[in-house]
Amino acid sequence: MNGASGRAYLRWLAPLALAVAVVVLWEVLVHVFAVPVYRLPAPSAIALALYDGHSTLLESAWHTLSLALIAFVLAVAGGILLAIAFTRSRLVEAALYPYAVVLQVTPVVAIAPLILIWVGLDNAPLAVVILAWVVAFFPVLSNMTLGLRAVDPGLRALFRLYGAGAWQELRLLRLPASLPYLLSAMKVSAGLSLVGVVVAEFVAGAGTSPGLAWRILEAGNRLQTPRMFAALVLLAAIGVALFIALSCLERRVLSRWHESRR
Amino acid sequence: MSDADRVKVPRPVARFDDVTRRFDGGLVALDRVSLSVHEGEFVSVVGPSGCGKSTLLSLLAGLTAPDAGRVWRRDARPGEVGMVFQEATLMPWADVRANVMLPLTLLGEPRGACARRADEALARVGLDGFAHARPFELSGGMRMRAAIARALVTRPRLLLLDEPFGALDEMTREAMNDQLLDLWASSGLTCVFVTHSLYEAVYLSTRVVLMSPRPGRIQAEHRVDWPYPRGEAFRADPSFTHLRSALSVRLREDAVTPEGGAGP
Ligand SMILES: Nc1ncnc2c1ncn2[C@@H]1O[C@H](COP(=O)(O)OP(=O)(O)OP(=O)(O)O)[C@@H](O)[C@H]1O
Ligand SMILES: [Mg+2]
Repeated sequence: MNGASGRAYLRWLAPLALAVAVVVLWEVLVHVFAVPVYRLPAPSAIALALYDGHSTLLESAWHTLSLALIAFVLAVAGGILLAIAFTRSRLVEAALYPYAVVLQVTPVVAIAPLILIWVGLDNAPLAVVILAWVVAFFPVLSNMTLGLRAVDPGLRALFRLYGAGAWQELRLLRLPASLPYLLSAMKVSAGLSLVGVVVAEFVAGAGTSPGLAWRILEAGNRLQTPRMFAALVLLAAIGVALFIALSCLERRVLSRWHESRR
Repeated sequence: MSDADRVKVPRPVARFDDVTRRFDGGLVALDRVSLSVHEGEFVSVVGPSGCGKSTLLSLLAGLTAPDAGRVWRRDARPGEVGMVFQEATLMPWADVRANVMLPLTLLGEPRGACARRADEALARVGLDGFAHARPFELSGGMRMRAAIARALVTRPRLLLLDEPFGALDEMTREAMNDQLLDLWASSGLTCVFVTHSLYEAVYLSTRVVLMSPRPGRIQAEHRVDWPYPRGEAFRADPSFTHLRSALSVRLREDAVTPEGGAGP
């Protein structure tokens, strides 16, 4: 127990210590070599920019986060439903799976203009959500399909012995059994939906989207590098927060189910 | 035949007529197997690994269909047959009570009654107090007992057990054997019990069925005439040792028979 908690401690402490060291070194080097602020601002300058612009930046961060969350929720829901359809019917899977792959391997940047035309230029947030969804839903789909299929054959025989219907088997056996698969896909998918939103905002949202991506572009055009970094810090913070939230959820759910989760 | 069997005419609960089961790749798991199981019997099926014992049980349970021949079972409605699989096969995400009441849930019984009957079944296998434990918190023997409780919860007429105690130490195993016999004797169950152990088979059964592999066949059947309850007196009796070694010789004889040497 002691060793395990010691290691958990280390998992937080080690990256934190590294971050502090890097920030300090960064600050020192920028001052020592007198790096121009538009090229590489010191951490203190970034903090200042974050403080000065916090009302617009936080508003943009909220905008980006909410679009990412919408895309994430839709990706999880869509991935689960499609995976269920796949396991219910090989025909549906055979028909749809190639398109899911096509959607997955086509770079979002490339389809962004098309989506934008389809939903209308004045509907940029919708286009952003659609694009982020495209990026985020595939991991859920593939992991969930795997999870729904990877059911202990003994348990399936047991369900058959008592004449369980397809719905009972899904609800009482396949869905619970695939939860570990779903939770690990959700961690990946949350990160991807954030990436998707930012990429889509870059392409689709110029001028119309008040998200963080646009703040980065805007600051870049004005050579306000500290503000660019400030927006980046916020983006990274959102990504990390999503990851931590989902890891906690995963640990909480699975610790009640499996001994093998460390 | 035991006294109880002699008094009333034994009624069949299941019968195999020339049952053949093949798997992909042409492997013949069971070859023209005929077997009857009568009410109140405790039949053990013994044979080397891969001789088709599990296949025989899943045919009996109606989980697979024969490729040739006929499988007949008197109690064909879901819940009338209980099965204990080779592994405990508990749902790791559910507590012991939810696992044990699963058959009732699947049969659509009302929830309150399910929980009560699950607790009764748990008490019968000595697991009262563990209703809220998770499977991973149980020992191997306790997991097996939970699986037996789950098989009993619907009050089946026929109980199929696939090497349930194979992974247990000898002391636990003997204790579980006696528990199982108590259950069988007190509830009018019919049991078909698959095992690797002749010791266990002879101790428990009214009849022992020996199987031989490749292709899976029934090689011999032996009645075990010793009154129940059995206990140490039977284990220590020369007739117990004698029957066990006689059956062991039969099994070994068969194992050295060259491939394909056994005629019809
Ligand atoms: N689903 C399957 N697909 C293909 N072959 C199978 C399948 N199930 C069993 N077999 C084969 O059928 C034969 C009998 O298997 P079975 O599981 O009934 O043996 P068993 O007597 O229960 O063995 P053990 O004592 O090791 O459990 C084996 O040779 C096995 O390889
Ligand atoms: Mg087996």
